Amino acid sequence: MTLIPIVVMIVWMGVYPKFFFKKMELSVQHFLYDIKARYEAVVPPPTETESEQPLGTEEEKSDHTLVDIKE
Amino acid sequence: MNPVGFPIVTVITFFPLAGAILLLFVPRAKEEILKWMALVISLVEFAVSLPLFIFFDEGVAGMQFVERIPWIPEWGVNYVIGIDGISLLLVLLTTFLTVLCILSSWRSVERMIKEYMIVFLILETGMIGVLASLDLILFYVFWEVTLIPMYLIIGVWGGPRRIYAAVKFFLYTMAGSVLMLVAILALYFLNGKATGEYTFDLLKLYQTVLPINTQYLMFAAFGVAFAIKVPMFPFHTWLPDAHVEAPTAGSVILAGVLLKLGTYGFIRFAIPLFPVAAFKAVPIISVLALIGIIYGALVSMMQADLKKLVAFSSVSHLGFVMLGMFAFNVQGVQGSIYQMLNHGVSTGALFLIVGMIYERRHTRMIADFGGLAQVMPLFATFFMVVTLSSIALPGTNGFVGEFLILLGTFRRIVGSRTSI
Repeated sequence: MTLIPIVVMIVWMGVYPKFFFKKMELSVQHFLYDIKARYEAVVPPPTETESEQPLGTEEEKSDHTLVDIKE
Repeated sequence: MNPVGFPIVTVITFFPLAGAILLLFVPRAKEEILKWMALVISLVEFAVSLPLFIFFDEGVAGMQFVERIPWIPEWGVNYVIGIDGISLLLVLLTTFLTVLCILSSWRSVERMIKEYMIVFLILETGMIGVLASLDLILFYVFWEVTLIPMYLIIGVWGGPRRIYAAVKFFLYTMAGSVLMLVAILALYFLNGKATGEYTFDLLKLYQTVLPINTQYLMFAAFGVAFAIKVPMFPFHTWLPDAHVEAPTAGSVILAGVLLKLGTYGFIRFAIPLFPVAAFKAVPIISVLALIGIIYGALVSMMQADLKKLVAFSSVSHLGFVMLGMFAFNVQGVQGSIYQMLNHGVSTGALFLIVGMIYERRHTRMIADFGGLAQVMPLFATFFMVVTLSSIALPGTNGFVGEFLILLGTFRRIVGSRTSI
């Protein structure tokens, strides 16, 4: 009996992960955007010619909304 | 006010503690009532945590359900708690697994049931507190609150070598905690000196820009505390002993939630507070994570004891979590968080399964269970599904997490010539 909910979770999370990912997606993007910005505040980013692939794609960065705290 | 209409995170955090206090008034002899009360408290806790998921706004990146109450304002210590998309699922995992742990303890725990249930409920408060804290002192208090109940669960209700395992667990975790406490105080004073505001508020401390060398020291102090808890290679040696000696529910909650407090600590505290040091530590952490993955898998293959096998597989799985986290891209970090959940569900289930067969045969040796499927076909089917999930078969949760981690890591390697 105890194992039934776990087996259901295993299959659910394996077959339809989007249900869980949509909750964390924006927080993860915010986390990456934030640490990159503060990294670059100390260590300046490389110039365009040096940098071909920055952290996160352009699409990911444009999706990001800077809404910080919702009380 | 938050969308639920009441301070839901505070209620979720302290409801198990209130339940534990209630259990104090039940006579020790009324064992059935104690068990039922603990089960009802954990079920209500799980039910109350569900609105967090329902009302969580996916369109908001930052903290939600934030509650802020002055605690020791003259020292800059406040009661600040909140949830974001990273902690939300881990809180739900905690409330979900606690119900299963109490159910699994129904027959396996035979003595000092009152104390056991009280300790377990206090542990739940500690775990949720760690996941929700947004003040470093509050976080540290909850971090220590998780340590003592787990020490008792292993040391009082554990196997024959329980004292050795409990002391080892305590010493390892405490050594890391003390380092972290020093770093918390240093951060408090450095931030105060730089900004004029002495505070332990995490969201304010995020904005502090520390010199690179200071970041290295602070990241090392926080990082060692969390690496011990994860546990990362080479800080993993306390884990097999703790798992083997802990009672079934202790192993489930240790694997399911307590180890995640280490990985969560990296993502919530060590990395965002010291981002430069974190980026510079990528090669070291990645190599240690890879060693953990391979070493954990190889050692687990050599085990004759089923519980040790699962314990060493945890070292391997958590190596994946760390590898994905330090890929520092969306796929890697999402995979890492997902893998935390997967490990909680799958390895928690594996420990439950080991506990179930141990209760019947009083042995955990793999060689003693030949032909199990003929006697317990349904159980064997569940065992197979959970095992396949643990080895990340496509269609199970494990695959999604590990695939994303590998995707993020390779993407990181391909882009490493140019990106930070």
